Amino acid sequence: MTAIGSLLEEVRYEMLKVVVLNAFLDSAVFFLAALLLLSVFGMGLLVPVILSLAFLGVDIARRWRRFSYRAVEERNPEIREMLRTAADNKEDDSLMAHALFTDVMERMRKVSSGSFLSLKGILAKVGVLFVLSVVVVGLAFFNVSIQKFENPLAGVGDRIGSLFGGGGHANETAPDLQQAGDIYGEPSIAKLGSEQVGITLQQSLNQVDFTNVQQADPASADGLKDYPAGVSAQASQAYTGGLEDINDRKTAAEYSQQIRG
Amino acid sequence: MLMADAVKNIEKLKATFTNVTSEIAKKIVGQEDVMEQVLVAILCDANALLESYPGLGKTSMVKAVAEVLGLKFARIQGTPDLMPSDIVGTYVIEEKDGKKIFKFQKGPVFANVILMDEINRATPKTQAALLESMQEKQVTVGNQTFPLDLPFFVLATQNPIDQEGTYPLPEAQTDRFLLKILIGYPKMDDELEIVERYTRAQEIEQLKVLLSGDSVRLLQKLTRQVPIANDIKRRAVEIVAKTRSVPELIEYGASPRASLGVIMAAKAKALIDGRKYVSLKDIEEMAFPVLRHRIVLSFKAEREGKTPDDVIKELLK
Repeated sequence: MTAIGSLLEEVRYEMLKVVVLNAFLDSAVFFLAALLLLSVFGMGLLVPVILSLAFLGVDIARRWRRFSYRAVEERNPEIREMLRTAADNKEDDSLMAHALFTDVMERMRKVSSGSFLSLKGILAKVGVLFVLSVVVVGLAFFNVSIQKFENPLAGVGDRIGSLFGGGGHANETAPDLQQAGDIYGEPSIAKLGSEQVGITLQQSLNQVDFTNVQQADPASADGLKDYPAGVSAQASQAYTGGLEDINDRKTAAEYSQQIRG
Repeated sequence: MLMADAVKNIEKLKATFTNVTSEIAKKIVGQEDVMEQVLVAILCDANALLESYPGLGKTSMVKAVAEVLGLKFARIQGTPDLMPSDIVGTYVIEEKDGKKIFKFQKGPVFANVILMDEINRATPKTQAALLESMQEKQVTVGNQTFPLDLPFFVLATQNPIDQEGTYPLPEAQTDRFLLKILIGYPKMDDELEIVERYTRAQEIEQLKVLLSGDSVRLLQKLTRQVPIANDIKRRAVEIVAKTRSVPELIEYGASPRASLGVIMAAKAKALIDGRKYVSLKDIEEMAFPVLRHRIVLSFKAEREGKTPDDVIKELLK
C-alpha cells in the first residue's frame, strides 16, 4: 500500500473510533431513558438492554455510512478539501498528485485525532447521562411509585422475557388460595355484613398497596368458626406480574399474617 | 528521488506566479482579476474573449503578459476589409537566382500570443480563419498546412457599445473561447496611479522575462494534472447542467464543453494560487467567465434587466 493509502486507512480507523464512541454515548443515554420509562410499565432490565444493544448497532452502522473525509476536514480547516481530493485520486501517479500527497501527509501529522470529536457534543451527552443516572438512582432510593397509573403493558416484560428463557413469571403457579380464610382472613375476627367491598391489589415500583382495607376490630367480631356459604370474592382482573419479586411476596405474606392477628 | 525533487519544484510554483503577476503589475495598475484570468486561459492552453470599453489597457496587458512569459506577441486589428490572408499569411512571388518562386509569407497568426482587437468588426470569413487556427493550432493555405508555434493563445476583444457595422460572433463560435473576461473601469486610486505613472516618465520600466515557451507548456501539462475531488467535479457538472434546466432564466444553456472548461479553469486557478488541489471556490469563481458567453438569457430574464452574471449567481445558490 502506498504512503497515502496507509494514511487514509489510518484516518478511517480514527474515524471509526470516533463513530463507536459517539454511538456508545448515544446508546447509554438511550438505555437510561428506556430503563426509566419502561420501569413505569413494570418491565425489567432485559428489555432496555436488548433495545439499547439494537440501537447501538443501528447507530454505528448509520454513522459509519455517513462517514466522509469532508467531516474530518470540517474539524480541521487546514486540510480543507485536500484530504478527500487525495482520497479520490490515491491511484493517480502524476507529479501534482504526489505533491498533494506529500502536502496532505505533512499536514495530517499536525492533526490530532481528538480534533475529530466534538467536545460540546460529548459534554452534552455526558451531562444528559449524569442527569438520567441521578433520576434513576433517586427513583430507586426513594421508592417512588405512580400509584394510580393504569398499567397498559402489564406482563409484557414477562412475556418478552419468557421468549428469551429469561426470568419471567408467566408460567409460575399462582398462590394456593383454597379456603375462604385464605382470602378473607381469620373467621373468628371477621364481622359479617351485607356490604359489597371492592379491593384492589396493585403493585407499583416494588410496593404493594391494599386500598379500602381496614383493620378488623376484634371486639365487634362475630366469632365465626368458618365463613358461611355464599360469602365469596370474585376477581374482576387477574394480575400476576406484580408477584414476580420474592421480596414483594414476603411483604404480602407478612402483611397477611399481620391482619390475621 | 527524482519525484521528490520534482515535488519540491512544485512548491516553488506559487512564488513563480507571484513574480509573474507583480512583474506585469509594473505596467498594469489594478485589474488583478483580469490578469489572473488571462493566465488561466494560457495555462489551460485555451483562448479568451475580452470585452471592455476602449482605453482600459487591453493591449498593454496582453503585451506585458507575453513579454513576461517570454512569448512572441502579435496584434491584429479587426476591420471589415480584413482578409483571412492578412491573418494566416499568403504566398508571395520571390525572385531568387533569376527565378521567380512562390514563398509562403507567414501572417501574424504565427506568434504565441495574438491580440485580435475588435474581432466582431472582421467579416465572418476572416473570423472563421482565426477560429480555425485557434481550434486546430494550424493553418492551411492552398494545399499546404502549417503548424502554429506553441504555446498558442488568442485573446480576442470586442466592444460592448457601438454595434453598428459589426459581425457579432455566433454562439457556436463564442463557445470556442474558454473564458469571456470583462474589464471594468479602474478604481479611483488605481486611476490616479495610472495617471501618475504614465504622465511622468516617457519610458516605463522594462519587464523581466520570467518564463519561456517551454516552461509555459510544462505548466500547461501540470495544470491538467491538478487533482480534483469527485464531489467537486460533480458540482461543476451540476452547475453547467443547471443552465439547461431553468427555461425561465436561460433560453439556451451551456454545452458539455463548458463542464470541461469550468474544471480546467479551476485547475489553472488552483495552480496559480499555489494549491495542488481544486477547491469548490475555484469552481464557483471560474463559473462566471466560463459560462457568461455560453448562455442565452430568456426574454423574461432580459426584460427584468438581468445580466448573465446575475443568472449564474442565482444558479450557484
